[in-house]
Amino acid sequence: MVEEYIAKIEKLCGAKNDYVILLKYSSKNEAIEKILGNVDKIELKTGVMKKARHRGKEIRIFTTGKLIIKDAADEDEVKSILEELLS
Amino acid sequence: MIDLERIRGDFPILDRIVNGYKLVYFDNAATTQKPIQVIDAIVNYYKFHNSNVHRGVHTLSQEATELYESAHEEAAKFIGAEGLEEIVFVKNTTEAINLVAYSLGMWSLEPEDEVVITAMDHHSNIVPWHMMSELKGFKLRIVRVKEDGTLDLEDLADKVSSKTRIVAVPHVSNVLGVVNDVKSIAKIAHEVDALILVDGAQSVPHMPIDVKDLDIDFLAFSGHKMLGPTGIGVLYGRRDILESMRPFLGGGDMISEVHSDVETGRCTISYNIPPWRFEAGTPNIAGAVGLAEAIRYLRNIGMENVLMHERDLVEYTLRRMEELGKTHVYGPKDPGKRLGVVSFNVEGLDSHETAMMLDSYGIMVRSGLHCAQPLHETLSIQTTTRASFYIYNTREEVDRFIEALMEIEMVA
Repeated sequence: MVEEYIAKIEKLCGAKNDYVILLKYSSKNEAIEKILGNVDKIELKTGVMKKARHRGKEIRIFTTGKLIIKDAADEDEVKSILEELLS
Repeated sequence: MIDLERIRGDFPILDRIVNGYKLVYFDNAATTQKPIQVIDAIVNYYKFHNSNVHRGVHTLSQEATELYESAHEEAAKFIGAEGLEEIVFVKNTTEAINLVAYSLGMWSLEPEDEVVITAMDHHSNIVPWHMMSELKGFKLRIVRVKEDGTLDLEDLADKVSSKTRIVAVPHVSNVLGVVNDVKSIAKIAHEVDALILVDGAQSVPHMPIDVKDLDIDFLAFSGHKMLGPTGIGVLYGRRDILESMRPFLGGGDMISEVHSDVETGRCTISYNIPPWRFEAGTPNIAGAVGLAEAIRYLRNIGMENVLMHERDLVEYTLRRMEELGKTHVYGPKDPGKRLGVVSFNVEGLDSHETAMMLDSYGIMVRSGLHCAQPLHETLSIQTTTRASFYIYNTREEVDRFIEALMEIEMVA
């Protein structure tokens, strides 16, 4: 499921446990819709970014098709969160 | 004065719509966009002149050699060097610094020697010296940065001593845009017979440079940060110093003669003269052609005009950023002390969130450490968002940037 929507997962420069996720352009709108429907809580909605929380982790969702997941233990945890959000 | 409309017309990429907005490219300290003249020069080289350089007797090889060597001459003229003997083509600024660190480090530096660098440096002027110091046992001295982001010249004068063999400093900070007084630093280095290497990655593209007037021994810079292609950079070295140095990489073209003895397994090798001594193997010929065209493009505008334009943009940006309530700008407030780089943070957002939100408005900026972790640690900042300008940027683009930041501040 993750591979269907995710183009790339990268650790953010200078931020120890924050990851950026690039959604595949062709399916980014569908992916964002699923993520917003599955997160535990949406804390803020603006035109360009949504702040959400899932499994206690802060998540930023950008309309351009990028996500930030903060304070993840490792890439495996990021993938596991994404599996839940994109199911 | 710069004819902005004409210049912008030379950059096809500036017509792009990104995320629904006309592109604003403010990531020029990372790499610049390319004018059509540079793109055409590279295409034409491959279409009509492509061949390998040196020691070829056919017409195409002679044409390629002529183009490649004249690119060295263009680079030499651009920075006030004596001639092509002082211009080594490398991959980028990083490789240029590694060349000096390895060539001098391997053959000239001893455990009792010292190399002086700064806390302001890009990793490319820290890591090669650190690696070589681990290998050869010499000591690194690191010059402090003051609270306002300027280099502490008193600390530099204290740390340069009779043990110092090399002083390696950035001309312009890639994070703060601070311009260092390299002429004074060169004087301090030369008083103890040390050599000075200047990282010019953020200065050569943006201001007039005369290596003889600055009295520096080495200058490293990249083509892609000054309208040229990636994969081509320049090491300027004073002629007598390059002539005394051993090669960094071995292979074809950097030798005069190679003899091998199958009985003893011994090779007898004599090296070519500079700059070819330091350019092993087939070089980036198309890159050199592109760089030469980029230099001609900049020279036609005039580097004084480039500098004035960027100073105007920085002054305007700093003034407009004062209107923002939650945005903190780093570095000196005096625009006269800096070039076209403005690093900042928005309260409540990390640098990447800010950069991604600006991206949503079609504004490209960089976020993170900018390969300068020691400087961020010195200033007690985790990361920064960086806007950096070039000749095609406008005040109207700065206005869009400020308006976007105003909206971003509302959600921070």
